[in-house]
Amino acid sequence: MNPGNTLKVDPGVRLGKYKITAYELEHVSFKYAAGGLVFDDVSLQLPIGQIMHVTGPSGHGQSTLLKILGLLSAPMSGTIRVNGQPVSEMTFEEFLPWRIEIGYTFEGGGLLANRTLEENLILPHLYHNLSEPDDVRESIHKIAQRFKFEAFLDRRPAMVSGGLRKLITILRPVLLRPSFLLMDDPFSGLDPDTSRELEKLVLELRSNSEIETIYFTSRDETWPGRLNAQSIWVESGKLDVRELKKVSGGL
Amino acid sequence: MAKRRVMNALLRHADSIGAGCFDFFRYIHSLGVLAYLSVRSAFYTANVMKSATGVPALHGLRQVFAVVSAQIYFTGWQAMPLITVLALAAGGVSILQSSAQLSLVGGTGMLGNVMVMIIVRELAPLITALIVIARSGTAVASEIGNMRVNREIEALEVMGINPLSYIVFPRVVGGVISVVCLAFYFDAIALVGGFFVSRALHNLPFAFYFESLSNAFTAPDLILFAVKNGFSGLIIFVVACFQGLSVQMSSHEVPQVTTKAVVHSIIAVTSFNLLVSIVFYLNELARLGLI
Repeated sequence: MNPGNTLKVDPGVRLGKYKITAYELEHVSFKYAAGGLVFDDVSLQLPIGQIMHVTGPSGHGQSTLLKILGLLSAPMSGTIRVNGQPVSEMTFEEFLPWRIEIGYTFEGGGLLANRTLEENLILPHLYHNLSEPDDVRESIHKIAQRFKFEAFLDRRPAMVSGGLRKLITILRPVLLRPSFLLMDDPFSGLDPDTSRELEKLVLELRSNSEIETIYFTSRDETWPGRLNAQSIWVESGKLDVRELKKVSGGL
Repeated sequence: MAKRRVMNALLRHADSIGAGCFDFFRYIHSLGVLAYLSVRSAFYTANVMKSATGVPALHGLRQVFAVVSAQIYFTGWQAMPLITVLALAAGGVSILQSSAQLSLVGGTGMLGNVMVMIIVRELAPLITALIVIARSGTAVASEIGNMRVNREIEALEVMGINPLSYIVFPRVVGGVISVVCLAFYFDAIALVGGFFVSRALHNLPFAFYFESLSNAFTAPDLILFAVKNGFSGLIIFVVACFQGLSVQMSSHEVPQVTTKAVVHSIIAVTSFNLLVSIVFYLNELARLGLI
């Protein structure tokens, strides 16, 4: 790995006024169509500008919380406010400028099957015209060199390993430099070298203030310590922000 | 007591008919809303990003139209060999049967009218639609269903790409263009190619046949062609996209929605064709002063 090879994505036109500076849940309740209540009247001012580990007993809604924060799942009742605006009541298009500032990485799946890895990575940049295509291509090739998958860029997701597919779903929003990044179990399924390089990348982006807030879930308890993460405890439909974990590793 | 039981049974029956009608109209409404929102989202996203960033985001439309061209390739271009065979067969047998029967009553001059009635007004729209349902309606429904299962639809959403503009709109537009072009191709091959296929079995001069055809075409035929084929394409691809998007999270739903897409499309397209034909012929009768 070449840790000195930093990203040079020109973020193009940053959506300054839409940068996520406040995120609030007001009396949010959520349940799946076939299932019990996952969140019951949750109100919380989410910590911004930090790395947060979303944790708790299995099956209590950690991944669901990330989906709600990414507006992928709509709450049954209550309001989600971003920068004071009630975004849960907005249409897809009205919420779009904020959505560009909220990145989301999938635990599994999430790559377009009929596109190559490079096309998957470049699509949001081309679609929204946020950066020059040549600059994005250059940054994709740099990050591919860094994570050693440049030879696979022209392959479709079905033709590469599960670990590489996972890495691409993580790098796709990272290349957009959202101010608020949601990562659903990002470190599972990656080999140790890639996990460590991803950890370095996350800390680099944080220290450069390119990505200010990161929320992630992880079964592996070493990552929150290595990333100096605070935690949000999710249990029985309630959320609880807990103190900074003791650093047990890191760079 | 017995009267009340009979009355309750009748009311329950009426309820179920009412609920069925309500479901039917809600389904039609959902299809209409899907078609409207997909068109709206394709053009609205670029405006939103322009107002947010100050930079025109027309690249989005460029990406959408790349999918339109791919859809035309898969639905239109790749269906041409099959359409060619069916059109030659349909045109050939129609000419043979019609010319044989018309010559018995001295009405060979009407061959063009009969061919326009059989091929242009009825067979071409119906056969083209059935081929497109079999080839592309199934493909679109299962493709979108699998995209749901693989979380590709959610992936588009998190990238800020409205699935309606990137998935539904290009497939519907590409589908409508393909169906109209395929129906035109079917007409051309059936009317001209069919003549040469059946040439060995009759001695009709081509100039006579061509003149008869030219005289048979009227302006309402063009309207009928556009309405039948345009709306057939719309129905097939809106139904296929709707069924594909209705998959929740399990791969076992994909074949179920694909079957539903085929059944619903066939019923809708044949009913629509029948309805348009009835309206057309009532209009013809009214024009002739017969009703």
